[in-house]
Amino acid sequence: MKGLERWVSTVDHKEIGVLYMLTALVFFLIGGVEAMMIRAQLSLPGLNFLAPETYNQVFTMHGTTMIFLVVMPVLAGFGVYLVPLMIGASDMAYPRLNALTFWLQFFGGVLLYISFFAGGAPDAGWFSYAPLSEKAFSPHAGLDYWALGLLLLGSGTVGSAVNFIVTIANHRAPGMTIRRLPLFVWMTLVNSVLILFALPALNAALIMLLSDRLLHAHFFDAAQGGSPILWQHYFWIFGHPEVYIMVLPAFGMISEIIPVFSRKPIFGYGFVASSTLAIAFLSYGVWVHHMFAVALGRVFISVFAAMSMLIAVPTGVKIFAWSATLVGGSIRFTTAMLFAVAFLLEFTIGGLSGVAFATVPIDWELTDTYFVVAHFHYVLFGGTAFALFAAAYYWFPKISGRLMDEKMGRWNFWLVVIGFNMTFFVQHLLGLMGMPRRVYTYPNLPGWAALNLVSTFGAVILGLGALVFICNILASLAFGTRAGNDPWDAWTLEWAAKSPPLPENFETVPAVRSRRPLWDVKHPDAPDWAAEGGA
Amino acid sequence: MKTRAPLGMLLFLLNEAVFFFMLIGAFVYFRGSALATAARSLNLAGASIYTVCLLASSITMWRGVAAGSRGWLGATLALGAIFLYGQGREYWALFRQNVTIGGDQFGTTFFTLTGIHALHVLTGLLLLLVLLSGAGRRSALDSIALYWYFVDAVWIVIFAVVYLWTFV
Repeated sequence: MKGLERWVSTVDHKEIGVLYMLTALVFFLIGGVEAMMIRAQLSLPGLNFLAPETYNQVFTMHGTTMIFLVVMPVLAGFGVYLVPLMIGASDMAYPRLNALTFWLQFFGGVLLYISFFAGGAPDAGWFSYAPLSEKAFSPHAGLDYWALGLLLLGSGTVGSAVNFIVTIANHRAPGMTIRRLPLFVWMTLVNSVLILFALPALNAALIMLLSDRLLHAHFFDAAQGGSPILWQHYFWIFGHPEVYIMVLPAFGMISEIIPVFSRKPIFGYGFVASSTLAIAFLSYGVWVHHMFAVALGRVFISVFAAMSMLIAVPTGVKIFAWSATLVGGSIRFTTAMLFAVAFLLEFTIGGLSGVAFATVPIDWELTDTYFVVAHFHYVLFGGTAFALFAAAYYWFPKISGRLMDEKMGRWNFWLVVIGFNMTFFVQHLLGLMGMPRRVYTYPNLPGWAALNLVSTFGAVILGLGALVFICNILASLAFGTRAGNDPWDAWTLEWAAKSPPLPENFETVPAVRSRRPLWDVKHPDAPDWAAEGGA
Repeated sequence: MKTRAPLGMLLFLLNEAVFFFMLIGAFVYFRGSALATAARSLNLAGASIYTVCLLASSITMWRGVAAGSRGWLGATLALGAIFLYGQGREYWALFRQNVTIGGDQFGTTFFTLTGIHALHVLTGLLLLLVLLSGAGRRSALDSIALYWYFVDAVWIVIFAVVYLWTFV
């Protein structure tokens, strides 16, 4: 078959995984350009580089793109590529559903971007608060494209969650018990359950918004008896679990990478796995912390404040487990490991500012300021994106058969670390000074111009880091050192497959008698299963 | 691997259950301001008749799966169609009383909730039609039956919340 025809019609999980990742990479570039436009407009006070209306569209599309068209698809891509390999299966449970859910998400993204040519992009922010998102205040079609695009993306995500659960439930190699699952697979499983309960809340809210906008219903329009607060509740019942949906697979990646480069099994596998369940469970009881500024009653919000602090505990357990894995290990600082260790630090900063927000009076003081922007970029970029960089360097050799260049990797790493912290650390300070988010410019108050300029310079450095990453991918695809099947001397099943794997993945799946089947193969004298007390 | 398809369908229905929970939640949220219109305009007797048809269709579906018989599946198709016809008549009667989705909160919540449910019934009918017209796989019938039971069960909840609660 010809190239294009093959890629459009493929149902192979590896090819679909690559399609997801490439799509996400393209949207990452687009979302990155939007970020640069935001930072250019904000580099000095009183600029008019972007008109206010354009600025609203750009920050809305930046957020929507990064969440729904970059993080979600790239996590799905790593999942559909790796999960079957890691459990010793030949494909996902439903290969055609796998293709369908990819194309749903692909065209959801296309639909979202068509809005630019159909009267203007959506401009009500990534959470599209009512009544701003209603027809009376946003009469152009941008919000309709937003809702329809997200409906496609949401449906695709649900389909892939179903596919992951059935695959992990029914297609594990003999011996791959639930307690021996690689942690990335374990977290993908929990994540899929989270998706099944969270995404339908968004889909229902979108149906209601579309009823309002297209059929003249009024769920969210207060002037006609509707309730804007209902939108906030529904959106965040989806939106807060969504935050964990975007970070749990990243936790899984870190849980694979840190042990391999520390030459130690993960510390407290059971705690890492079960704290994931705790996070998933608690994540449904914290959504109101996005709504502390709405007058909902003191007792009501106190409950959610307490829950929001509680959820820091299982997250902290993971940080301790990863740190304890490092202790006493013989650490190899490859680029993947550098990003993984940086993840620990950056994500912890984001986690701490999150706990600060759970304190209601602090939230009241800082809500809608740049402190919020700083906080969620530390968890989403410092957390998820750093883990994704680590994952890219770690699994690229498996996917392509070639190693990524370590020298460019160092440049990639240091530019991203310096640029990221320069961009976002100062935004904590701007937030504390009261600079509001989502406003296209700002007055020249003491310190604001300097800090914003630092932030914009940081963004340029961060952007250079991202470009080095893309150059590294292209250069390594063409000229990278041949990787062999197992370049990192790792332990999970995907490294027993060829690089890149055969269409059917394995000729024979190694016996699974412990959590580290390849360790057992390489060390028949001291296999894990002997230490664990037999198979 | 006989259980493969129904597990996937069960998980999909779990997502659907949450989806309907949210829509029913919105109906309940606005119930206070919608109650007067609901009591004035809903037709409990008429709705009860087509509700019975839908419930009966679950029994014929169950027989169809158990006996592998096309006749029972055809009966399911017919009963489902009667349900949609009955609901269509009720919609028409409401329109004539000027109760629409753009009217008050009752219209907004009632038509969105029951309309989305009707789309699910219609989807079920189309799936059955495909199965009856071609050689559907056994696992497809199992999945479609699960879906059908679910859509009926959701209607029981909707009927209780929208109709019974209004008149009791």
